[in-house]
Amino acid sequence: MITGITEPSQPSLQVADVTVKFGGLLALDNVTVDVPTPYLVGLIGPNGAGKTTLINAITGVAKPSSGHVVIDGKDVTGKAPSQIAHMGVARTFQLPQAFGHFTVVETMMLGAHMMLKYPWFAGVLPFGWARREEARVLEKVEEVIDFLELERYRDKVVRTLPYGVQKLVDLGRALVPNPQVLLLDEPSTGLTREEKENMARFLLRLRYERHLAMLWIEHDLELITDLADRLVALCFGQVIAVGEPKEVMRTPEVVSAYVGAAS
Amino acid sequence: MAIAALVAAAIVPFVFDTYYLSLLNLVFIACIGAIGINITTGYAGQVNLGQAGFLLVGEFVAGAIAIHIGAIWANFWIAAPAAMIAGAAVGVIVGWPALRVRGLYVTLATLAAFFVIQYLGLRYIEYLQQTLKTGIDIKLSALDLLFMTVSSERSWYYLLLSVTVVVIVAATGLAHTKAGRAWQALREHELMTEVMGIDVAHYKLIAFAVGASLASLAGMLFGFYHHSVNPEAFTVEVSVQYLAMIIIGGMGSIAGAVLGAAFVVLIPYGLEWVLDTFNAPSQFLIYFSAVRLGVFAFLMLIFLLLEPEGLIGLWERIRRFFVLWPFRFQPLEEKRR
Amino acid sequence: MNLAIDVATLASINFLLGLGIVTVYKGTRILNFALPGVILATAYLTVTVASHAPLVVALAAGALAAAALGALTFYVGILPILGRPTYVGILTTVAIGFMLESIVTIIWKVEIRNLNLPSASFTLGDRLVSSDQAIMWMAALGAGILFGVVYRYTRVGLWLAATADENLLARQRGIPVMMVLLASFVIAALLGYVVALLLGARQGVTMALGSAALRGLVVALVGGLDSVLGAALAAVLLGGVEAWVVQTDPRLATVVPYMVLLAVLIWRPWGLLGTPEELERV
Ligand SMILES: Nc1ncnc2c1ncn2[C@@H]1O[C@H](COP(=O)(O)OP(=O)(O)O)[C@@H](O)[C@H]1O
Ligand SMILES: [Mg+2]
Repeated sequence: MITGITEPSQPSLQVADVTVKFGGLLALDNVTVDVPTPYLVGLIGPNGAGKTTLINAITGVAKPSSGHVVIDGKDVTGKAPSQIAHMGVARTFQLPQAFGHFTVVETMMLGAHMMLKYPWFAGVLPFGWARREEARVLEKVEEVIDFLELERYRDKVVRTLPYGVQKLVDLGRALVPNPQVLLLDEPSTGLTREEKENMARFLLRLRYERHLAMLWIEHDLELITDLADRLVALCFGQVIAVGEPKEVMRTPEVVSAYVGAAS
Repeated sequence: MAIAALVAAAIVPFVFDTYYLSLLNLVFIACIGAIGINITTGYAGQVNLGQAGFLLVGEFVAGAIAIHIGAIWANFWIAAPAAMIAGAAVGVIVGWPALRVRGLYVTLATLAAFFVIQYLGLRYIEYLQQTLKTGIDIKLSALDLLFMTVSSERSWYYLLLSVTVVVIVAATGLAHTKAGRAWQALREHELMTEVMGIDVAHYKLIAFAVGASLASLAGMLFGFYHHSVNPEAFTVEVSVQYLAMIIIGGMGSIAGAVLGAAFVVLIPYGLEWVLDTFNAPSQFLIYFSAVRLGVFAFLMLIFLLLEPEGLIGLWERIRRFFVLWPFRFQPLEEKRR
Repeated sequence: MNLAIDVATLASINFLLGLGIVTVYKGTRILNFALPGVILATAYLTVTVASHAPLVVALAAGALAAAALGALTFYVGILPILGRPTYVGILTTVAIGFMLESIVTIIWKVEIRNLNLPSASFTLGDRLVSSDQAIMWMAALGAGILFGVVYRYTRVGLWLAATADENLLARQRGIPVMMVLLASFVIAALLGYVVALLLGARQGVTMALGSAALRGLVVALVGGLDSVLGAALAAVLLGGVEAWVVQTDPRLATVVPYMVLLAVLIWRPWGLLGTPEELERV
C-alpha cells in the first residue's frame, strides 16, 4: 500500500514531560516528543544526550520518575516492557549482537513470539497446533526476509554475518510482529557507506509502505535531515529543538551542541 | 534413517550381553536427567547445582507410591506422572528466586534446595522405617506396565529406550518452538528478551519446572531400576556430573545432552581400566569416586574454556574441516536457496 | 552465656568466610565457588608441612599456597572468560573447586589430621574458652573493621565498584582493573585460609572443612552480596539460629542455614542489606 505523505492523525506515540533519573543524573529532563503515524521522526544529539534512554523510557526499560508515555491514546507509563511490546511497540538495539547464535530465520521467529498463540507445551508434539502456528508465522517471517533482501543469509548464524547484515536482521526481528510504533536505535551507526544507504532505503520504504510511527536515532545529520519528516534534538537530557529538519539544524542551540561536543 | 535406527535399537539386546545392556540402561536414565538440566541450564542459562535434589524427589515419589499404594501397576503408571508433577512443583519453588534475581543467586538456591530436600527425604524415610518397619533401606518391587513386567535387564532396556525416545522427541519439540527460543534469548539477555514481548519470568519458571520434572522422572526410574530408595547415592557429586554431561556434550543442544550423558556414564569404566593397566597407586582405586570427580571437573573446565559448544561443537568443526578441505571457510554465495 | 559464646564463635567463622565471598563479588560480580576447594587444600598442606617443619614455616607455606590458589582461580577460571555470560564464571569456579577437592582426597585420603596451634585457655563466666576461639573472634572483628574502613574511606572500595560496574570506563580512568580482580581473589583465599586454620585447630582438618566453607556463600547471600555489614548481620543471624537448633536437632542444624537462605532469597532476593542488582543495559 503506497500512502504517500498523508496528514498525520492523532500521534501514535506521545512522550509527555518525561523525566528519568539515574541516581543524581538527570538522563531525561521533562522531555516531550510526539510521533504521529505515518511520520518518520529523527532523534539527534551528542553521545550521552539521553537518546537511548528516551527509547528505554518508551519501551518500559527505564522507569520515568514523572511524565507519561502514551501509545495510541493509552497511558503505558510504568508498564512492564513485555506488556508495552504487546501494544505494538517494537525497537531495534544499538548493539544487536546479543542473540548472535541464532540463525537469521530463528532470530525472526524469536521476534514473532507474540504472534504465536499456542501454549508453550504444545511444542512437545512434532505435529498439531504448535506446528501449524509456526508454519503460519514462518510465512510472515519469509515476507520480512524477502523485504529486507536477506534470502541468501536465511540459514546463516547471525554472528558470522557482516555487521551491516546483523543490523538488518535486528530490524527484521522488530518488524515481524507488525508494530504500530517502531523505535530505531542508531540503525546505521558502524555501517559502511553502502550498507548505510541500503538501510536508509529500507527505512524509507517502511515509511511509505507501512502505516507506522517511527522514531529514528541517527548520528549522520545529513542523512537524517534528508529523510526525516521532523527532527528532535536532545542535549543533556533536554529537548533543545523540534520541527522541520532543516530549521532544526540551523537553530543556534543545535549548532553549538554539536560544536560543543566536538571540542 | 530414523526407522533404521529404531530397528537397530530394537535388536541391540539380542546382540549384547546383560553387562553392556546394564550400562546402556544407566546411560538412558542419565540421558533423561541430562536433557532436563540442559533445558534449565543449557537453554535457559540458569545454572542448576542441585540436580541431585531433583533426582531425589523422583526417588522419594517412587518409594512413596510403592509403599503407600502398593499396587504393582501403580509403580509406573502412577509413579511416572506423579514424579514429574512433584518435580515440576519443586522446580517452581526452587526457581522462584530466579524471578527477581539472576545468575549467582539462583545457583546457590538450587544447591540449598538440594540440602533441604535431602534432609526432608531422610526424615521421611526414617518415619517410614519407624512406622512401617520397612528396614534400613526401602526395597522397591518391580515395575509392571500392565502388558509386561519390567525386571530383566532386557525389559528395562526396552522401557528406558522408549521413555528416552519420547523425552528426546518432546524436548526437541520444545527447543525448536517458542519456549526454546525464549529460553535461549533470556539466557543471552533478559532485558532485550522482555522488550520483544516475552514474559521472561514466566519462561524462567517453565525452564525450572520442565528441567526438574525430567530429573525427577529419571530419579524415579533410577529407584525402581535399583530396587531401592537410597538417598546416599545422590550427592553433590551427582549434581556436578550432570553439569559435566551438558558442558562436555554441548550446552543448549539435545543431541549434546545425550552424547554427554553417555560420555559421563561410560568414562569411569574406561578410567578404571586405565588405572588398572598402568598400575596406578592404590589410593587412586580406593578413592575412585574422587578421581572420577576430578576428571569430570577437569573436563568441564577444559570444555568451558576451549570448546564451549562441547562435543557436538567439536564434531561440527571437524566435519566442516573435512568437508571444506583444503579451504578454511565456506564461500558466501554457496547454498543459495 | 554458653549460647552467647557458641554464637560468637559460629558467627565469627561465618563472617570471615562471608567476607571472602563479598570481597570477590564486589570486584568481579562473580561468586567464587572454588573457595571450599582452596580452603581444603591449604589446610591439609599446612598440617602436612607442620609435621616435618616448624609451625611458622607451615603457616607461611599455607598462606603462600592460599595466595597461589587464589591467583590460579583467577588466571585459569576467570581471566580467559571475561566478557562471557555470568553462568560461565560460575561453572569454571565450580570446576576448579571440585578439582582441588578431588586432588586433596587422593593425596590425603580423607584422613582426619590434627593441627596443633599453640593454645591456652581462659574462663569467661563459667565457661572455659580456648585461645583459638578468642583469636577467631578477634580475627572476625578485626577483619570486619578493616574491610569496612577500607571500603568506605579509601579508593579501594571505589575501585572495586568501578571495576565491577563499568569495566571499560574503569580502565580508561587508569584503575588497574586486572590487579584489582587478581587481588580480590588472593585476599578471599587468604581469608579462607585463616578460617581453615582456626576451624582445623578446633575440630581437626577433615573433608568437612569444604562444606563448612560453603557456609561463606550462604552468609554472603543472606547478608547481601555487596555489603560487609550485611555479611556481619547474616553471620550473627545464622550463627544464632544454628547454635539454637543444634541443641534440639543436630542434623537439622546443618541444613538450617540453607533453609534460611531459601527463605531470604524468596522474601528479599538481594539479601538483608544488599543493593538490588541492576539489570543489564540495553
Ligand atoms: N541504566 C543506566 N544506569 C545509569 N546511568 C545510565 C543508564 N543508562 C544510561 N545512563 C546514563 O544516562 C546518560 C544518557 O545515556 P544514553 O541515553 O545511553 O545516551 P545516548 O544519547 O548516547 O544514547 C549517560 O550519561 C549514561 O551514562
Ligand atoms: Mg545510545
